[in-house]
Amino acid sequence: MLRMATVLLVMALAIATFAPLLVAIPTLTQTPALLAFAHAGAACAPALSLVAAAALAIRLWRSRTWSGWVLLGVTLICAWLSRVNMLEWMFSSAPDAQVAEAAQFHDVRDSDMVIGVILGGQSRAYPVRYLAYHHMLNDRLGGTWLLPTY
Amino acid sequence: MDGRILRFHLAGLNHQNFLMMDEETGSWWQQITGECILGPLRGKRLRRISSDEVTLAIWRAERPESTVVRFDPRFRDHYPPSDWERNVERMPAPGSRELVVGIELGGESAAYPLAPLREQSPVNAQIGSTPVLLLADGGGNSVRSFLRPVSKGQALEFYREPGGGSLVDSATGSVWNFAGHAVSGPLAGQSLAPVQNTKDYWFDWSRYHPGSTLYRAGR
Repeated sequence: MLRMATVLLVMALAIATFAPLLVAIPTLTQTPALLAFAHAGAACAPALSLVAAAALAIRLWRSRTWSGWVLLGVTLICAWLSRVNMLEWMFSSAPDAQVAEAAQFHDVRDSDMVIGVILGGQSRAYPVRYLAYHHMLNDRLGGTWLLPTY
Repeated sequence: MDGRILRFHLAGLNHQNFLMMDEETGSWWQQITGECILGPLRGKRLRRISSDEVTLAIWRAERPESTVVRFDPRFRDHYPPSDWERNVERMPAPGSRELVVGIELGGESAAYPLAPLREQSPVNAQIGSTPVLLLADGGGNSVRSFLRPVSKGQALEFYREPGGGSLVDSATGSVWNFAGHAVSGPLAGQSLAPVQNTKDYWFDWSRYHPGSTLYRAGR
């Protein structure tokens, strides 16, 4: 009974852990059902990993089998993957912005595009080439918390 | 959101339109609309802030006091080169990849193809019943849009003086710059009210603005 339960738990955990990657496949149509499934996976995988780990601990305490250890290994990997952002391996999140005065900025060409914002009397430009990789930046300007995206 | 600062990360990719997740609740948000579609904050919407997509040269000339976000040296190899959009254009898309300038105003939305706009600028247009002006500059990639002021029932019209000259209005002949300020003539010192526009591919703009008009040359 416990063996069956642990196998099912780990299967469910693996599905939940990898479900969020479904929305990282550009060719897959993102229907509302797919999105909901992917999000549900992301939401419950961390807790599910704790349940699976606990169940496996009990199972292994009772009898040590190689299949038990394999399942534990899978559980630990899923526990880790469900707590990291796999998409950010592809597109790293922007660390807190380092800025330069406009006159001293030379990371892009004069003809390259920027997204310019003015808030609370302060102005800042976000190079499109920067946002094309990071996709977004958690920033603060003129007292307002903003998220430039591209 | 409701007194709490949210911090966002990438959650999904979808044809140049992505999903973001806030750390605080794990909710997922749509990038193009700023709307939360899944999770505890479902239904909430991020407030859009006015932004200007122009060349670095234009921004720096107009706002020399501005700061600019620098490339992070750790990711130097990941930032795309200057002509990166040409690679994107080779990717398959569910519809027309024509670049348009999209404007949403007074409940109506309209899209102006960028290529003809570059040549026809300044464009005196109308969105619903609101007269607007579209200007292209900076090699044609920088586009700004403004409200055209109405005086005595007539909306101001703009044109470029022959021989690639200054931008002037038909009523007073005042000269206007790309920032929408009148720099000389009877209206000197006045400013046009900016209107937010978004550069997008037509397939994406039309998906999120169903019923949006797509303007063609001659209209």
